[in-house]
Amino acid sequence: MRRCLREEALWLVFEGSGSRVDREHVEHCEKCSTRLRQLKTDVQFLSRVLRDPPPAPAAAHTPRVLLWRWASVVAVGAAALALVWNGWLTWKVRPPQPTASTMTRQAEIVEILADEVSSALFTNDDLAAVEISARVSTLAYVQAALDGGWPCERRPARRGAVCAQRPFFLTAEDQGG
Amino acid sequence: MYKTNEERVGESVSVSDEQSFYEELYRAHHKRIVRLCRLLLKDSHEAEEAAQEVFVRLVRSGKAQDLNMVWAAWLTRVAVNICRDRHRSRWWRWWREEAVEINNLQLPTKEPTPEERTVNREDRERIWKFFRTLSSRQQEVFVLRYVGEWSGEEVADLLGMSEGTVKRHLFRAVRHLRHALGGPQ
Repeated sequence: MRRCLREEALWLVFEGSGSRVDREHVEHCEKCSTRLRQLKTDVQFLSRVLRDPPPAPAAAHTPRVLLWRWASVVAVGAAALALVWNGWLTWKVRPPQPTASTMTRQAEIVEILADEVSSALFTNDDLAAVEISARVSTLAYVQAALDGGWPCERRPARRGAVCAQRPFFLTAEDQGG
Repeated sequence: MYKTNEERVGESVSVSDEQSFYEELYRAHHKRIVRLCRLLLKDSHEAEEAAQEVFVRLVRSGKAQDLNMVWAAWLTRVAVNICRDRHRSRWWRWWREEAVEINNLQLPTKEPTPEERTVNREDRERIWKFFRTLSSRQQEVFVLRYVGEWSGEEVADLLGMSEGTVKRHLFRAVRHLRHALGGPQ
């Protein structure tokens, strides 16, 4: 004897479209014929219940539905607010970082400035024209200033007379000489 | 009395006849269409609206002259399509439920029929709950086949799908709904 029918095969027999072998099996199998009768009863019962209007929702059901409806709206609103707040805080604590292109541009500017400024500030091209004759005796200059005089080297026009009257050492060379 | 298409064949349809024809159709099918819409939609208020829309479309279609029309099938197909359209706007319906549920609570309780009395409330609630968890297609197929009592072939034609697909949806729907009865797992 064949094994009992699967649920789908039994349902096809119920629908009138099962195979002949399956139908014969149901006729001879006590268990499957009982299952088929139960299936008929169930489908009839289900269709009968569904023909009638659905039972009114329980009173306790409505507040719960309303609660969930508004709770979801509140949750979405709170999430949006939290996102905005978080974004603002992030902006406040750490301003947006420059982009790669901005950084490259800034580096170029710094490079150009460094080249121009350093060459202007620290050029030694004109040093050759300045004659630093020798180490100056600072003390002699100070003393000359206090005395109301001026180093002879700065006053070439007056050099002859004044320097002749008040000779003092102005340069290392003078000192040495 | 609603006349079948066969009875109407050969009759000439005047304007007054057309009006009475629509009225007859309404009387003959309105209750069935409302029940169908109530099953496919979630609340009775919206089902009433959908059923009204079906008959508005009937009048607008101007098909009264079409004597070969199978009206039951045509109305059913239109009703299913309207329910599908309404299903698509779930978000709107979800908000509308609030008013409908409160409305239902305020309505006087209908006196249960003897048949209803035999089925206790918990069973009915459980079955409806399981029915609502079926897919739209499964609901449509189950309702048309076992509540509307259309044949499998007719259901396939109404829903525009193959008979094999109808059987597959139907089997799944039945198996799922039998779980509500504590049937085979």
